Amino acid sequence: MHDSFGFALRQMRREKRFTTFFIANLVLGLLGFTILDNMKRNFSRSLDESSRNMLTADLSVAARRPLTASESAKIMSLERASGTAAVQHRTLYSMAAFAGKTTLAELKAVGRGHPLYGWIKLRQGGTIDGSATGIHDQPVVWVAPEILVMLGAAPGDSISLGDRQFVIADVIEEESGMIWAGASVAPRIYMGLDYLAETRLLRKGSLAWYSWLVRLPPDTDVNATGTALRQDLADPAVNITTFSKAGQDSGRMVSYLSDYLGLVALVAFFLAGLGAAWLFNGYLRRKERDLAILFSLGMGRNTALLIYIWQLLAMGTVAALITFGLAALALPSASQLIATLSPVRLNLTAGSDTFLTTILLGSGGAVLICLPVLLRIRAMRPAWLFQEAGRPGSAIPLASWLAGIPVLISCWGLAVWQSHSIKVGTLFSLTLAGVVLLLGLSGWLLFALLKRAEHFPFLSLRLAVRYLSRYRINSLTAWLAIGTGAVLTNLIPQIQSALLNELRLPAGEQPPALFMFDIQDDQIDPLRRHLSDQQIGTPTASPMIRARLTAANGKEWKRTKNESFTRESAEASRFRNRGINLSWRKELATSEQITAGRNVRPRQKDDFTSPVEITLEERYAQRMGLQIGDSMTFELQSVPIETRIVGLRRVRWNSFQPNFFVQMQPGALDDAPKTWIVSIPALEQKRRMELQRSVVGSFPNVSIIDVTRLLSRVEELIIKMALILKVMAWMTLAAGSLVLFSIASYQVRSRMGDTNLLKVLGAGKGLVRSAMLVEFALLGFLASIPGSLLGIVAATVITKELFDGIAAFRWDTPVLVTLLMMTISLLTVLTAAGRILNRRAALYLKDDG
Amino acid sequence: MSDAVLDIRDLRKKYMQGDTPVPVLNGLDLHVESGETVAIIGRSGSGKSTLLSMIAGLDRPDEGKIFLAGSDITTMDEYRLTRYRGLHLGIIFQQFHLMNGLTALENIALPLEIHRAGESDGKAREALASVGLAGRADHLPHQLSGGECQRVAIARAFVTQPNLLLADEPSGNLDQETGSKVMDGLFSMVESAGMTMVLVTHDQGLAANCRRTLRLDRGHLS
Repeated sequence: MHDSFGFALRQMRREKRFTTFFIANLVLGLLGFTILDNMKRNFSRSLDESSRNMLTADLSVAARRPLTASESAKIMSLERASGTAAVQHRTLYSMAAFAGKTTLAELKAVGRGHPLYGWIKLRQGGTIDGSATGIHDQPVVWVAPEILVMLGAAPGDSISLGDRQFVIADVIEEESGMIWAGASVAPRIYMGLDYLAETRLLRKGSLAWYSWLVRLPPDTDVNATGTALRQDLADPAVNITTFSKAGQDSGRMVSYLSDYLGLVALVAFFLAGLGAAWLFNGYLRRKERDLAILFSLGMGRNTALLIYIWQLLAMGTVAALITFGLAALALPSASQLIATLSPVRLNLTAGSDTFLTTILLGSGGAVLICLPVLLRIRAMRPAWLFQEAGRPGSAIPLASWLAGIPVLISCWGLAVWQSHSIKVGTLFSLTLAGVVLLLGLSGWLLFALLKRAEHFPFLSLRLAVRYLSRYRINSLTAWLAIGTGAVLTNLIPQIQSALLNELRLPAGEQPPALFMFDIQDDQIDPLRRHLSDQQIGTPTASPMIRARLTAANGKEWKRTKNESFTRESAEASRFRNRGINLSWRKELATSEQITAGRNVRPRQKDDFTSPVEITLEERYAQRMGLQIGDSMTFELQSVPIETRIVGLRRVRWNSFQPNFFVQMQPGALDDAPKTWIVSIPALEQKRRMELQRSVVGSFPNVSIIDVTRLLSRVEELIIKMALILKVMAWMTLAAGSLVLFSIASYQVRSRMGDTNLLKVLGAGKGLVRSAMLVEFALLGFLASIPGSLLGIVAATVITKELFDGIAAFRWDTPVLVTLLMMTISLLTVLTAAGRILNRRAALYLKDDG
Repeated sequence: MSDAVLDIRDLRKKYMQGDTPVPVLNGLDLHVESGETVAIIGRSGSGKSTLLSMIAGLDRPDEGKIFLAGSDITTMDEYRLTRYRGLHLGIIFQQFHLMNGLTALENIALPLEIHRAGESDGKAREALASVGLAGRADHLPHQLSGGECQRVAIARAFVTQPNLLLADEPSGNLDQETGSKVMDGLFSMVESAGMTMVLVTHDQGLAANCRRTLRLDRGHLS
């Protein structure tokens, strides 16, 4: 073992160029992986530390309806244990008004004792940790600084909330349970719970959360208590959230982003792996003669194998160490980048766990990725040394093919681990496998066709085509590598483009200016008249009924109790466990379209028996496991409503139009108690402000969201996300370029013998160079075209399945990638060919002095 | 002088071994008439291959002149030298050096194609037939025996009808029986074409087939 290790180190020292290149390749692939892994670890650690303070309780029980007396009694029964405390909250959106100005606020009416955990830091009153009672004894509020700015108010001023005036007693500087800027629709206002009724903001159907926040005695198993309570409170509309779950939820945005970035890191890692395998393949080919000599001198194949395993392990470890160093430098910048995407403060540092992961991935990954190439050593025969016409054709041994299986399984495992999702990981792996298969078939066909069409007029073209068609295995592997490189290099910018397109407002479409909600049934007509008086274009009004899903296909609909291990199951259970807003409209909105079945038809007036027709948003249906023809039973004020799914809809949520997961047939529930949502078309800022003021003056309970302001905040988020996505996309491109460089360098080097022979036979440098250029231009061009096209297909599949992407691809990307691939191919060939062409061809004559 | 295909005057070449210059060719002169066959023999390391490299224009001398078909190749630039070599020289290597991706016929046609000689296919077929391999035109080198590969290499060297044929241990990679057959064929072709040939070999028997045999020793031919 000692000898083989020494031999490996000697080889590394002598092959400095290969060693450097191999390590650089791995570093590029490992870097993204390491940073993301570190981010995930730190994030989950920080979440654990801060999530109790974020929830301000051990667990919360919340519903969008007042909790029943029996539900409240069950929660209060917890209080009997010593050390337990419970506080009630109401959270709703409301308009705050002052001196003719209005703004939407998140109103938090809290009971005495809040916060049970964490703190609220006030500008004048210091830090509140549950003992302060200021807001409970007087009609005063604590407001977020943004409220002061938007209303032009100052502490001591009196603001209107619904029908009541409140004095601004203090300003919230910071709080442990603060919703971070990226996710909040409106800044927060705190008031005492007892004063909420006086505002008359809570009316039937108002959008509000009714919560109990509970602190349990120390050492209590919070999850077990939560589970027991969940069994007691059977209604799925009642949410029970433990502090750890709340942490996960608040980190969802970063978690999704990191899952996506994980996919990008995976692509970069695969690309780097591809490049490393190619480099090693070329290196081993050069070493075949040496190995054959060593075998003939009695070296065992296992010893030879060990030499190269040591070499790979050493190079992988060096790459991992460099990666770790670079990651340590890059992590502070990464902390800053994601700071605005999460309430959790991250202080990313490269620790021992990151170190171990990087070393494991670097060294183990290097060996694993090169395993199929490595196993060729076992198939080498020293008899080659006695071959009259040199080494025979390079068939790939069965062991190398078989070694591809653990490599593929590991790739799949890595994809699942990195994406936290069996679905994403499997889809990614299958898409990649399918793409490679298609590329392989198209390459095989092309080279077979080229063989039939070798009689081109120019010798350089003839030689290039002959090379491609005659060295078919070689050409095909290069084709696959370049094509796969093109697929992966295209994939990320395409998904990035599709994702950003999903987030951004569709081009040419005007977003609504305002959203009005909590409009009572008896207020809708006066509001319409009010809007008409204000000469507002054509506001869209949507009725909304809060209902509870009680059964699907005749079976009782139960809350999911199992823990979710993957992203999909977590999302599905969230959807399953919540109440639902029902609505109806005569025609489909411009932001939705039927994708399966049909739209609902107006209900006949005399139809009292048949189930109500409904359409579901397609992703909602998928998560609920429902399809066309299935029945759903909703409960509306204790009255069961039988429905049947007649169609599925695709909704463009980024249109910012009011849309619903469930749309019912008009005429079925028209008389049911409901509230309304109204969207106001685009308005200039001055009119927007005037309208808000007048509506709040006439309808104090109506809440208004300024969509334009919200959109500018979303845009800020998009810009930040786009920056992260672009950095990763460029990293993929760099990894792809390096792969291509590795392939082209190897291919040119393998031509050295033939190049010299052509020179001996009288071929000028121009002819040799042009033959090489034509060959690699053909290979680069022909492989990157199907590669880029398949990249688009793969991106379509992935965005469709994972991000519900509406295909909006950048057609410049495949063109750019194809040109880039060709340019890199040609530049590499030119550089490498220059080196070879300048060598003396005398090497052909045997060396006897 | 007018009939001289190859005229070498005072050729000198030395290589560096570390800091020490080691002379390999030391004022060597050689004059080969048209149609003449000359064998150069010598021990290993005597500089036979260096001499052959100089004649083929694959290496540059330190001093001296090499006239090939009347032109001094030591003063030619790389481009002219490459073309000149292709048109006036045929080289047969010990290791055959065929292009593995090309068939026997394509290997022979290659020099004609490089120089755009025209009718390359017909001429190559003719050359292939002359070495008795007409039926192996579409075979790749790894599908041919060593003897057959060398016959293809000979046909390739002949196909451009060069002024001078250089052969570097042409039977060195073949067994004795195959080597003899191939060499018989080579000499018979050289004779019937009236070709000029410089042959480098260890084999005294093979050298005896040439009109003249010269020994390379200490950088001189004698």
